[in-house]
Amino acid sequence: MDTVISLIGRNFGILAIDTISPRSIFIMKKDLNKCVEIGKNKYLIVSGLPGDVSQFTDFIQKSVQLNSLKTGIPFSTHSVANFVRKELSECLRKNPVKVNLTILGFDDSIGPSLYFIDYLGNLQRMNYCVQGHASLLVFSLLDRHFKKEMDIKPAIGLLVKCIGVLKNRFLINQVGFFNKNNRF
Amino acid sequence: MEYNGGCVIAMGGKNCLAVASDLRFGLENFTQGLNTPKMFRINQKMFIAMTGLLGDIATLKQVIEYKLSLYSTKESKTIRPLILVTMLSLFLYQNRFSPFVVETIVAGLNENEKPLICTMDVLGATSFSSKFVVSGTCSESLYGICENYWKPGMEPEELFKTISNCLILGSNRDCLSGWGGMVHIISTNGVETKSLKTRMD
Repeated sequence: MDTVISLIGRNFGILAIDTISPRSIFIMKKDLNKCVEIGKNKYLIVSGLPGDVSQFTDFIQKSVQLNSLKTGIPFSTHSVANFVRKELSECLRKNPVKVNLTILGFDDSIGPSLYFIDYLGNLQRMNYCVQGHASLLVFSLLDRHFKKEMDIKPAIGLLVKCIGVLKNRFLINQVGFFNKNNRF
Repeated sequence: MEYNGGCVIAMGGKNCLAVASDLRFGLENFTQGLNTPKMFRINQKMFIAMTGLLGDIATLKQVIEYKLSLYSTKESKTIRPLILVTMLSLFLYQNRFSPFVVETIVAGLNENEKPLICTMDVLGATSFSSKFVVSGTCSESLYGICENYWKPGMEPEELFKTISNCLILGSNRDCLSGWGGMVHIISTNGVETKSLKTRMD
């Protein structure tokens, strides 16, 4: 399962995403970029069943674009997150899509914000979030060391620590980590 | 029902009402968030509290907000608690074969300042009480504790102490609830919100 570690600092957000694309016991592709940009300064990472992931990502990306063209108003991160949640909860009872998402975005008025959405439509706004099996290993480390309004160097240091833990103890060899570090 | 965990209590006092919930957001055994109260303010003197699947809670809250704004536009007045209960109960039953996995509690003060508390199951079966209602993963222990501590005619301060005690004691032994608590006390003077310090485990 994909690992996504994300945290928010003073005026920036960091995402660390693994770059492997597995198929059963093999690594199909080692340098996959799973981070999708929706609108300006908003990033979406979807993980779950491969077919559902690509279909749902495309659907969300294009729907958000269409809506912002129709209304002429660019979407905020909060509205994108709630839109995705609504689509997921409607899909839940019609054609279930087993995907978990992380949305990281920056708005001029609010600053950086991070949202986690479950495949059941549970939306949660958080300061730091881990997605995937790695959450069992990394979350407690983040609980211990995360501080609100961190500067960029300590945040990257914390991220390196988390990746170190994974390299040490995680069964799957997640080859590289792609770091989307947006100084907004 | 037990996927996200959580618990909610609503208690009636003398011309006042209190609603309390824990703050845990979990994915089965994993605690993901610590700031998710399960109560939502409907209008000046009414609250809705829900336990169950958090996605359905969010959807239902948005549906209620939509129906309420439609009602207040059509009828040009604020809704009474009993009307909301009936509306919600009907709506929940409309999804008879793919129900919202939530147990709802409606708590509000009537015009005559008498508290009205009611609980509903997944299909909208209502159950009114003059004392208290509970809902959530630790509802069995909450029933026992509230039955013990509730007294008729409690004033807001005493009601706050009672409901806080009950929430803390009930969620202490339950691993799927807890991680903080929040209480709203609704009285003729308005709504007071207080946070509770609980065991963080």
